Amino acid sequence: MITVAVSVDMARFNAALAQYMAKTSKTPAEVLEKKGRDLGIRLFNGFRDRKWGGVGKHPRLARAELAARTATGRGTRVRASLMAEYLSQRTALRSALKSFVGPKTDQQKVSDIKKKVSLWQSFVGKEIGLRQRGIGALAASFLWYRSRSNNAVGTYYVKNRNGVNIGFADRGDGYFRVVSDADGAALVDSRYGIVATALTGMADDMIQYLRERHGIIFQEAFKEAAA
Amino acid sequence: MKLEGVQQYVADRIAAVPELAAFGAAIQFSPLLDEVALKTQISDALRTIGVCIEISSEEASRTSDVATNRGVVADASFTVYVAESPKVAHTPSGKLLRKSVISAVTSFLTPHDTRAEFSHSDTFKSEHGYVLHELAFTIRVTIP
Repeated sequence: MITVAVSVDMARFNAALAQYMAKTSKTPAEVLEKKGRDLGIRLFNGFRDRKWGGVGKHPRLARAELAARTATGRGTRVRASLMAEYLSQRTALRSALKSFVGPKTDQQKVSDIKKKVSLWQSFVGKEIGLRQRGIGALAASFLWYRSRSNNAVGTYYVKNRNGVNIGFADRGDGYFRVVSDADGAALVDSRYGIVATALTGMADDMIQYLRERHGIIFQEAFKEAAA
Repeated sequence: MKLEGVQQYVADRIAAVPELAAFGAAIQFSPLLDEVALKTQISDALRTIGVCIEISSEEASRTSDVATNRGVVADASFTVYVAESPKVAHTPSGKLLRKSVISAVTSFLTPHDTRAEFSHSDTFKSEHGYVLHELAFTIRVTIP
């Protein structure tokens, strides 16, 4: 089950999660990962919206620009310092790829392209990260979901710019823990009910899924009655 | 009327009509119910009585910005499922059964009742001849 550092009434959430686990085709570990990640994103959004001093001047600036430019077939602009670093790393990557001796298979060619693309994507990620600085320590303490692998087991820490742990996600056998160590998280939550809202939203999503399965029940009951 | 009271409201109105009460208490569906047990309950009712009535869980959508000191006014929609077996004789059946359920759900039990309004219906027939009537209703509720 998902546990949170702040105490809330989780009966409805746990009931929905148990039913969801029983009825979905996903394994329990996959469900925990999916729902744990969903919780992290909801908590991030909830705390970001309650950031001290209000939401930053340019919320979602990088993402909005990314979406707009992608829609017109263009890429994301990165700042000059990052572009210089990117060009230097691209040169190194190109020469490393060219140093391969002999003809390349199609698979190798695709792999080379993927390496180049992922290098650029990593710089786009850096640009987004830089532009979205100042989202608030409380929200940032849930940012593990951006960089943590879906298959990661164990504790994944979120550090601030000084290298101090401000939160972590911990997945183990049958549990997924989301913890914020940022000062004031409990206080802000007690005032605005962010954790409770996140859990209610997740429970609603799962209940909607279960409701959609309702029509199937009658069909199966008819078959059972006819047998 | 509060949102969480809608299912019981409908169940009370169905139970108040003797010919429908004879089919047994209507099932109050919840997505959190055990599916296997629910399926068995429906198929058992179809085998023995020939009819199974189920009230779906309700969904509310806010109709306007009207807010009273008791909460926000919203329209809750719910569906009453009526399943009929072709193998067990029962009265009323078919269109009469459908009309009887609609009239029961939209009836007043007390003069101060909130009245549910019938929205639309649909009927499906399974390959084995079982019939499923889907009767959709709306009712005004207050969400605190």
